Amino acid sequence: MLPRIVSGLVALLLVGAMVTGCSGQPAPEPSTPSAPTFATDEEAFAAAEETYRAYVDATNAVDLADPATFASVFTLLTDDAAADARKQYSQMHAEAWRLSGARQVVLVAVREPTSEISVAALNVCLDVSDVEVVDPSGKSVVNTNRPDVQSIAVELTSSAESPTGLLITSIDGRDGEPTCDG
Amino acid sequence: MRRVALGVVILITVLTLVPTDLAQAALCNDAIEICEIVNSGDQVDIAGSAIAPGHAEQDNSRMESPRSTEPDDCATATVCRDMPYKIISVPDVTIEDLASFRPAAPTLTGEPFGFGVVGLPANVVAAASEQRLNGELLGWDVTVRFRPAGYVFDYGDGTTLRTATGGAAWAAAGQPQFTPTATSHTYRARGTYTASARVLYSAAVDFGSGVWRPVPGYVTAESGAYRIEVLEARTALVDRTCAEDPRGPGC
Repeated sequence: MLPRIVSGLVALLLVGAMVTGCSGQPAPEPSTPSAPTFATDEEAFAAAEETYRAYVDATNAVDLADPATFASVFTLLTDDAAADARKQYSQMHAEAWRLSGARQVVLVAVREPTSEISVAALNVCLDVSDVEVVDPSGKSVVNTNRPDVQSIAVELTSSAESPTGLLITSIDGRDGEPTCDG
Repeated sequence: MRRVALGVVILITVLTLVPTDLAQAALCNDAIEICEIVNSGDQVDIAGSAIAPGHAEQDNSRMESPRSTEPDDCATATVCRDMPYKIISVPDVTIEDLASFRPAAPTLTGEPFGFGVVGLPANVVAAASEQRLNGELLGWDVTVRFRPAGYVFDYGDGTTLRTATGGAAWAAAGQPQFTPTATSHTYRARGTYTASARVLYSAAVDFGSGVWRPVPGYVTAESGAYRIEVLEARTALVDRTCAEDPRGPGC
């Protein structure tokens, strides 16, 4: 009787050892979605700023005559925003407009997101005074009331496909602080 | 008879000479236009006025906003008969006006379907696509376009994810099972969880001119619940397979 009990205990211990000690199963990982998340607001802001500055660099590198140069702009936008951008650039390309000059980021500050899908948002002052867009006759197509420095709000959401972990969902005008005057 | 002919002329001109929508989109064209203040909430209107001159050409010398101002003697959505050209205003639309237009709820699924393993990514995928709905809005025939702008996943364990994509199945992404995806989630403890997802659609309206006018804000559609039973996986060294020894450990 005793040997059977002992052998049973041994068998249980062996199974227990195999199940636990020899399992090779990694310890449970933290409960973290695979899309990038940010430990702090500062990290999110830094990623948002990096994304927006990359977007501005991409727009500055656009040659309206060469649609291949548009692609780097679209990759920093969500599909929804990229659809709008494609329409804008396609139209400008079709009109044979020419773009010159460069945008300059004057200020980037953190902003409270207004949309549920936004992971981060920015207040931006963007100097566009050097940017000119002309039609084939050389006539400017820029709105005469365009300010030299645009007051812009940028909203971003997370994306595993973005190098920064974020993509831009919208770029709109804004009012309030920080102001971009002077 | 003359009035009928006039109406036909007006209709044609409206369809052909509506200003470009280049100037007003969710993405400000900062090189050309004034970046207008568009609250991403749901309170700010978009405006739309369609200038319909008899034979006037659209002036592209300045990319003016489509928010043209009507002369005082012209009523909204009517024809100003005393002018050599016609001005027709399409109504302002807010996201709240689209309440009667409901985009389809996203479908939510996962893999392994209904199951997950503690410590390993469970893939959760929401599917939504562009939709166009026809109807009447503020007395006008309209087509409303909804486009997925972003997703909010709730994994049921207190974790949420706001992301640009609804995700993809492992096979579609070309990934092995239990590898991280854009929308996968790793549960820490066994149990049954109820996941859900919301899709935020951006909206645009077309009053028959072929011009899509963005409506600021988003329309939200929520998926049904997706239950995930999360189990613990334990491995054991065995000398025979379950087929060979159905009563063996883990079989």
